[in-house]
Amino acid sequence: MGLMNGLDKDNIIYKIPGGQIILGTAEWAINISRSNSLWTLTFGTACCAIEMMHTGATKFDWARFGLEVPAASPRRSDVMVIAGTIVEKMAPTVRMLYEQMAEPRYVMAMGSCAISGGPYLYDSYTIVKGVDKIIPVDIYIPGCPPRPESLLYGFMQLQKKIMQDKFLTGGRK
Amino acid sequence: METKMPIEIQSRDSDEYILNMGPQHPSTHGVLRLMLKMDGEVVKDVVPYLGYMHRGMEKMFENKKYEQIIPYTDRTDYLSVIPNNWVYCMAVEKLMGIQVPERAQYLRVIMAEINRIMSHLLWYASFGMDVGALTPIWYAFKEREELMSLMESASGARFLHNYFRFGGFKADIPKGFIDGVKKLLARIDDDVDEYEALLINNVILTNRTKGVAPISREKAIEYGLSGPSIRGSNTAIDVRKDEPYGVYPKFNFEIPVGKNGDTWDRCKVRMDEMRQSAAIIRQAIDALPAGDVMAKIPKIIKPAPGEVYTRVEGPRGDIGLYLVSDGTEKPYRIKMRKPSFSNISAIKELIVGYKVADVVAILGSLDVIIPEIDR
Amino acid sequence: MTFVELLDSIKSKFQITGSKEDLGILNVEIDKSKIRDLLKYLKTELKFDYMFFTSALDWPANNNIETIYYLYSYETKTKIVVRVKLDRSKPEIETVCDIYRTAEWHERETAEMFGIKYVNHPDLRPLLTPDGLEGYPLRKDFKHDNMVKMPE
Repeated sequence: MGLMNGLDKDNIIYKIPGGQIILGTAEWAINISRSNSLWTLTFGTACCAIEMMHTGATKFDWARFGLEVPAASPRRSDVMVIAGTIVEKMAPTVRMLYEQMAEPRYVMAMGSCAISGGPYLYDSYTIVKGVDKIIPVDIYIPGCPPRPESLLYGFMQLQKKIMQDKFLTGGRK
Repeated sequence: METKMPIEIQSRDSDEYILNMGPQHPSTHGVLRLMLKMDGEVVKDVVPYLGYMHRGMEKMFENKKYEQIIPYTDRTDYLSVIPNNWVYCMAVEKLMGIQVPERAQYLRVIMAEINRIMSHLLWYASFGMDVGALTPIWYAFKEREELMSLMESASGARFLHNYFRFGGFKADIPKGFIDGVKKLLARIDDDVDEYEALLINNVILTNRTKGVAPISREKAIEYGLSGPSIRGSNTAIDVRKDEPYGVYPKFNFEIPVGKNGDTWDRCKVRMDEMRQSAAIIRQAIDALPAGDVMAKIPKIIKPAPGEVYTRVEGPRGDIGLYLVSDGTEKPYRIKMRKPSFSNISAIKELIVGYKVADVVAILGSLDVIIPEIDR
Repeated sequence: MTFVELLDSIKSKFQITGSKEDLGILNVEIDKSKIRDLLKYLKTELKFDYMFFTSALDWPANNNIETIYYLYSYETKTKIVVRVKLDRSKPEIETVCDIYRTAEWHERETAEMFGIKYVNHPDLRPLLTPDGLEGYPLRKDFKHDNMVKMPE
């Protein structure tokens, strides 16, 4: 069903004896398989990590969207979900993990602390004011903590972004 | 500033090596870094590194007004939200001489015990995941989701409730809350029996945890342990019985203890605590009086100059708050005494001599939350 | 034990510089050279076997830093606070972590936050603050570029 919804006017369906075939670009086929099987590197440090666990558990299951394997190692994951506050002592670790991921890689900043420092923006001497000062971020999910529905909406937006990726004809790496 | 590494390998010919369980690890419950000196699979020495979540909260509180600090107290330990709010509100109420009305006191007890059940359920899920059992997560989270909907109807937020205020609550509980609690009480005993039979009495877990890392009563008191970590060693210490607060003296409950002080006993104590919490909630619901839920407090919160130290029993142990006030709108000094800080300082005593697969089980049985150590 | 008994029992052995009762808890002030003997006496004779925490307070107006030790007895269910005043320009005191094991990490944290030097402590590396932080964060005159004050 997801496959049929992803068809746009560039793809053509032919009826042939025995069934039907779909004619489309190679980018469309690769993008649709990449966006529906993302493996996450769950970098949960604080309270947002609990909401992320709830998104993966019974009521709001994220396996229906293809995120079946929470791969804990950066060498085999596609998406890095930063859930929690980042402080100065942890910043080199974040950068090192990002550089260990293989391309194509995506980053989601979950929660106010990862977007801009959150409730610790003032009067704290160790906070990093937003994780986009260290690594490039694709999707921002606001909230303190964001509800599981917000996180799932963020993943759906990331899937839409991946569908527009034109890596064979230039554009993003 | 160059600091010497505190772990060294004695000689080049031995089989020893240093293993780093880094800050990003699926089983260390947050950002804890352990440097293990190993000989084959046996651990010889351990040095923990902390500070990967240090946000400087105690310095931050000196520039905020008293009522602006309440949301920050839930974010130190995000699983025992209600006891953290309670210990702070109790400290300010003691300095200002505010009396909380009776109905609010009963409601505070009900919320605290529901929170204890939620925290122990999350411990159950993550402990199972650490030792390799992937089924308890689904059971525990299903239960937790229903409790979260209940608390959301009362406080407005799923789990960082920010619910208590100085003098009681801002608004009374909504209409369907008591029915929701009664539905929970009707099934909680059978559910806890099922969860215990699934993981704690499982033969694989008993073989992995019985006899592993025992600690005696004297050593535990010296290291400052509290909560289920010390109750596993046949020591009945609980703030609700030693120094009762609120309306706890009116309830009839026991303190579960373990016999040997090893990892399995610490796990069993937590399952029994869930049953005792259900007993307390049952008694509180039956005796809930009518009345208003908020005392009369002045518009500007300015406690009298002085110091106070209050204690509360959280799911992890004994939470304390030391407040020094100088008569202005902002506190002079706040010191938070958190149970995981003392619980994890005993780690060298517990881990040395066991295998690396036991390290994860022992850390899981201590139930530490790293952001509350670093504050 | 009541306060009067407790205070008399301590006064009979040691020379204290002050005492007061605050919201039901006895506070005893003593000079820094006698702190180890007093804590050993409290632990063995008067059965104060549990230490909640040890920390410090910064009083720039009086030019001193005050260290406090909060002790508790599980047998008699009483609390006591021991206070020691230190000179603000050069605060130094002996460690008590062999008497109470839990003081090892509490003293490490107090040392990096206030700049107190604990003599004979086994390991005084910084516990929580990042490497290369200059100054002592919980003193009242601490300044840092990253720390932006919240507007009213």
